[in-house]
Amino acid sequence: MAMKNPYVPSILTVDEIRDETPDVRTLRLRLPSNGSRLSWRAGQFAQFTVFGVGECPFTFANSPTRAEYVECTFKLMGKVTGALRELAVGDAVGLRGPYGNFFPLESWRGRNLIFVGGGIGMAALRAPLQFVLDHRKDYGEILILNGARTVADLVYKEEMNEWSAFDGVKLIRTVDPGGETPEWDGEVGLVPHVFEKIAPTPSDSIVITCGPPIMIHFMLLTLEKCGYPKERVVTTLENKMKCGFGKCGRCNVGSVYVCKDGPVFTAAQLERLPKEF
Amino acid sequence: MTLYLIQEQYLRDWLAEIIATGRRVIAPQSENGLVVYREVTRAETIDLHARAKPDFSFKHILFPQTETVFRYEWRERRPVVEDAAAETSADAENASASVQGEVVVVGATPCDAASLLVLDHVFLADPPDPFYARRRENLIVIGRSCSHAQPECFCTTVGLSPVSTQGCDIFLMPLGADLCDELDIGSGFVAEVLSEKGEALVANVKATWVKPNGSDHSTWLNELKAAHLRAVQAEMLPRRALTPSPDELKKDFEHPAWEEIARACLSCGVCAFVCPTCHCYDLSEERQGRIWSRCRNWDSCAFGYFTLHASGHNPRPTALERYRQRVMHKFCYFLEATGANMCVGCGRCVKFCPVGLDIYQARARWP
Repeated sequence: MAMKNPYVPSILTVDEIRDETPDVRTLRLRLPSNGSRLSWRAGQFAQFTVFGVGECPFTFANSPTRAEYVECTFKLMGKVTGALRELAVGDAVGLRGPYGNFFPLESWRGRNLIFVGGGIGMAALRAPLQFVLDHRKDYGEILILNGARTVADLVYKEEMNEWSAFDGVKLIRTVDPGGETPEWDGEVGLVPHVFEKIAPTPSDSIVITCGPPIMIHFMLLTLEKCGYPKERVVTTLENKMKCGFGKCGRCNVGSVYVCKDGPVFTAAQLERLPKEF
Repeated sequence: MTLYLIQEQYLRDWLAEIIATGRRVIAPQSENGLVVYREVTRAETIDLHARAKPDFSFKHILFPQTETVFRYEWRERRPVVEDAAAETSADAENASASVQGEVVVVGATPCDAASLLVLDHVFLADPPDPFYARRRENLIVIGRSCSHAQPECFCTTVGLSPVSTQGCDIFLMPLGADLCDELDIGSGFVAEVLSEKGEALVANVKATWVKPNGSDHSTWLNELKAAHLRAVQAEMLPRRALTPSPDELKKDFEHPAWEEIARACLSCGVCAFVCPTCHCYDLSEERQGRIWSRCRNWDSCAFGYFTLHASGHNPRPTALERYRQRVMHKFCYFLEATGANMCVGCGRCVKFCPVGLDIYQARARWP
């Protein structure tokens, strides 16, 4: 009886390298040439290996509607992300997954969607955004609020312009006070403050937010204050992970494992968890 | 379940026979001043009347402290991956034609045998861990009753006891001297055969293993166990049963008592390393010459690095959050998921803790 070894990665190949900011990069990876397909849902993640260095979890940065390749957006942080930056076109990257749950995009049909991303957190919102834009007529009004510390730290700059060109898509960009340049024509202020200022009406909207833990914390408070029901506020968590399928114990928070019960949680679900994420 | 009475000598002959068939037999053995589960090659070295439980459990048989999950080497700038599970699977494929792939643990204490149910829940859940699953399939557990309690033992507070048989394929209990005289068998044991694996292992010994007379064996066995339990319990510290109450624990997540409970913790992680049910692990890259491997190593939630993000953010930054996590995972989170505690009450974490932290005491503060 042959049992599949879930630790063994497939080997993908770096096809394209795109710098989003001075320390954020997107790799486009080509699937193995043996014809194997990979299917995932927006919000799921995979474990990426730099051979000879180690493994790290990253979200699928592209939508499954664009599944002929895999994209991974990462910020230079430590050993594996440092090594990922050393890779050139043609180099190998290991991938195992997909893991975890996903955004319930099917059940959000007809809804207005508000995407609120901070810094590298925007990477987790790119797949659902692409999905929604690839099914544009199925969804209502779309608001994208994208923030970063400085203008240089804003990710997906060119794509944002393409996205905001769609009918019914509104884009607001903001940088932290002091992060603006003389040419900057966007907002200046922390993401939750800007959200409060523009105060989109909560009726019928779903808010999807991702960013650094401190931003998520204040966004959830702001959304509560603005009257968004917790069931309609969705975020995606990160925790230290090793296996990706609920065994190694690293990402355990309360009664859930972020890797298999998440990474997507509603604010209502988060409220029932200890604040250990 | 089938019940047998066996003279000690016949039991030993049977164990010798199991070794002679080429199965690996693991039993508690003295090693460097500790008692540990190790492979034995002679049935005489198996202590059927051990006073104490082994210092460590036999978790390492199923879940080794370090293990390769796959290997790779570079050929023309590409990694070529070799699946380590495919090898063990091929080995096992050959071995399963005979009984040689089987591993028999003899003399497992009730706490250690019960820990298998916890490990099974984790490692056999979808997707099953092929390394664990393969070994588990080939594992046969011959448990034994505990004849004595040690100061750290608290199995009776978590729903187990010195005579509980959970996780055992066969369970042995020594017969008292009175009963042996009455049956005229010198020294002897009662054996409960609890599974198909156990039945297969005793299939050839029915001539020397005797079924007790009469029909109502369960009453007889229950009385025997009750008497045994009373004798051992008399040696245990008086402790109250821990009623399963995940909600109470959760309610007091922010209770100031956690500060006091965890204050002494050194975050050394020994509690996890000696625990039969702790199963957290790390995956890391190792290299020997040209061959790289992805290795799985035991890990502990007591370590600060365990939850440290690359950004520097740490969801459990101090010993307080980490020790609380240990208690909560054992007695609340796992309980919610499975209906059972993740603690078997062996007390090894209490015995080996350099600063005397006591998980029973920590848990017993709550209803």
